[in-house]
Amino acid sequence: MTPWWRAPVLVTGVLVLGYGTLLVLSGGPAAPPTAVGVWLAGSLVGHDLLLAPLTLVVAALVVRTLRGVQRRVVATGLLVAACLVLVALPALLTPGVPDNPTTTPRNYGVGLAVLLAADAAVTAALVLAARRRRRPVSLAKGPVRTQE
Amino acid sequence: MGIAFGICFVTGLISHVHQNPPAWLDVPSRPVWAYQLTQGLHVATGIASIPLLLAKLWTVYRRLFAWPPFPDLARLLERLLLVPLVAGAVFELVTGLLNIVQWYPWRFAFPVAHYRVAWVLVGALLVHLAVKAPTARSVTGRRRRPDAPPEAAPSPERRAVLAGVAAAAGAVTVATVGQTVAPLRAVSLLAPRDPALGPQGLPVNRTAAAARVAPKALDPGWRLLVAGRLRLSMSDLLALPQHEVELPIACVEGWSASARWGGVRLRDVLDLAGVPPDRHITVVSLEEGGYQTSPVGPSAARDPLTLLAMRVRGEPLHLDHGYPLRLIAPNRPGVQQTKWLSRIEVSS
Repeated sequence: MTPWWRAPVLVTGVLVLGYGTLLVLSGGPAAPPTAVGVWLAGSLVGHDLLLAPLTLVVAALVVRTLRGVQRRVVATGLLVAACLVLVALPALLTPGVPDNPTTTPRNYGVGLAVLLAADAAVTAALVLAARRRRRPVSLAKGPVRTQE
Repeated sequence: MGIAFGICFVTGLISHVHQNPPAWLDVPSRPVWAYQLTQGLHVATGIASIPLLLAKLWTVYRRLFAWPPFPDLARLLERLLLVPLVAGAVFELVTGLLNIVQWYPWRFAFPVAHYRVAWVLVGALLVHLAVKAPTARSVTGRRRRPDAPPEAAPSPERRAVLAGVAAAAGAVTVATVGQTVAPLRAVSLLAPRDPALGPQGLPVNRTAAAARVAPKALDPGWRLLVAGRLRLSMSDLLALPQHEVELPIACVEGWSASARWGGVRLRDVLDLAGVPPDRHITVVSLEEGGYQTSPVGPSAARDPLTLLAMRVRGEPLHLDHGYPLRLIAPNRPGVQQTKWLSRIEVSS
């Protein structure tokens, strides 16, 4: 069934998208459409042809090597790590602002390493906990069988 | 995802209106903390939506390779719509992330481009939601017919994705939000700013060196020209009633820091110059270029918390904080808390 809000949202969306496109194309020295366009295209290509395929390769490795709870825990740990790296990259790579030590004042390499280590530790702990939870079950089954 | 982008869009529009107020609008000066909240939310939500966007894109990515690619016109349009949607979303997050570290490796003005593409993104998102509406409804399963089969519980994989996204959103938020939520500054190891670091314990966005104002700002002959008829020296200003206010500097880059500022009320100076209370005014800096002027509506100009500040935390302003005189007003973007004041002009 078509929800009642579909048509108004669709019309609003088309109008807003048209307005935005006109804004981008309106140009001016502050934001020439070519300069913005290059970064828009770069955003699309950077994600679809670089980041997404890379993710799929990593995901395929995880799927092939791990099962069940462990797979899910490790996948979560990797997603957290990837997002931390993405958020840290600008601060790590920026040339910085001359004469202004209050911008990006921290040691972001160390910060990222600490956070990734914490992520790895939590992931490892959860994987171990999942293994331990499974083991008592299999031990409990043993004696039952010998009594039979 | 839609909610996160909605928050970013609304708070972004608020920031845009602050910085480009239409002539008829008197931006309210209260609540004091409003801009600190909306802009802090804008940046924090943008950062937290990185895992949301990635998880969303990665779970649908393989559908890009469905065959045949365009079985009908509707499917073709749907695919074309992904171009502004994905390009716009990634563009907004990438430019936003680079802006908060003040890194501009492009040939456009960040606020202008970020604002324009936001409209493209929101338009594409609305169309996308409308196109996908029936599917979304069947997934959430609301308004099922009573005879419909019971819903299948979400699979462990789906729950794991949701938990993973929540964990990642939480991690990147804690890692950065200390730039505006001061108690978290010790754990926000990736925050682009430390709200307690800088001259007089406050960060600086634009230094006196970058603004090239030092000789004029340090000149003992400095005077503040008000409405073209009143010329006030430092000792004239010190002879006026002095006030102390606790106000935040809330920057467009999402960091904020509160401090106790001392100086004279802007409204006292305007009264002294005989400026009528309903006038819009413009404060003008010694700095030349893009940040030279900023508009002040009657609401902010007449607010008792709005100061022409000469002191912060009991000391004369550091040159990087706007010595000899700066504007400090409630509910105002940091970029408009104009430093190194030279004139106050009255709009006709």
